[in-house]
Amino acid sequence: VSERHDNEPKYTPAEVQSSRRYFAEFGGAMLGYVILLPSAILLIRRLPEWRLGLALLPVVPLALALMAVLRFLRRMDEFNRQLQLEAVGFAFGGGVLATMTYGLLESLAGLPRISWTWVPVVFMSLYGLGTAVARWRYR
Amino acid sequence: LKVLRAERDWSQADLAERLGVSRQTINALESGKYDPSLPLAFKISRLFAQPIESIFHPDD
Repeated sequence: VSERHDNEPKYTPAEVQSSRRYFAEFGGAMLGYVILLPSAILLIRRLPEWRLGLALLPVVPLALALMAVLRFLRRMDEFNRQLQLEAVGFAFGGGVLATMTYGLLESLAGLPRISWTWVPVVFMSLYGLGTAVARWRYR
Repeated sequence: LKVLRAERDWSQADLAERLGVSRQTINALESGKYDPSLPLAFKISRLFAQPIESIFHPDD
């Protein structure tokens, strides 16, 4: 059986199109975030009475990023969805374990309090690791 | 699957495109690491004009 596919393109045109769409949607949302976050910080300094609403401003592009991720997942084929399930499962379980562990160390063992914004960093890192592990398992 | 594909001189990417899946998916199917869903198995069977049980075997 020939192995000439080794020199073939790695992705089908449909996959390339789907990825491009995802990066455009996700990238657009991230661009919105990097614009809105400093804007919110500056505005809160001038209008402290509006800080509750202003602090939530950067959440809007983050919600758009979530929609981009979900749309990308729905465009995937069944095998890639299974891969993603394993990666997300690993990230979710590992993230719960990591944050609970530190939560206990913080409240029971007196370790320093750290910001909640580290939680997504933990989950995203584990998701990256989980994707690599899942791809390696089905390589 | 690999043999059927080679008979037609299709690459993994060619087959992937015809089935509307990714090349990775074809690779996982051919290495026996992934079992297709029933709809995908029917699609493969239709594409190669062969019954499902002549392409996939329970012990694969």
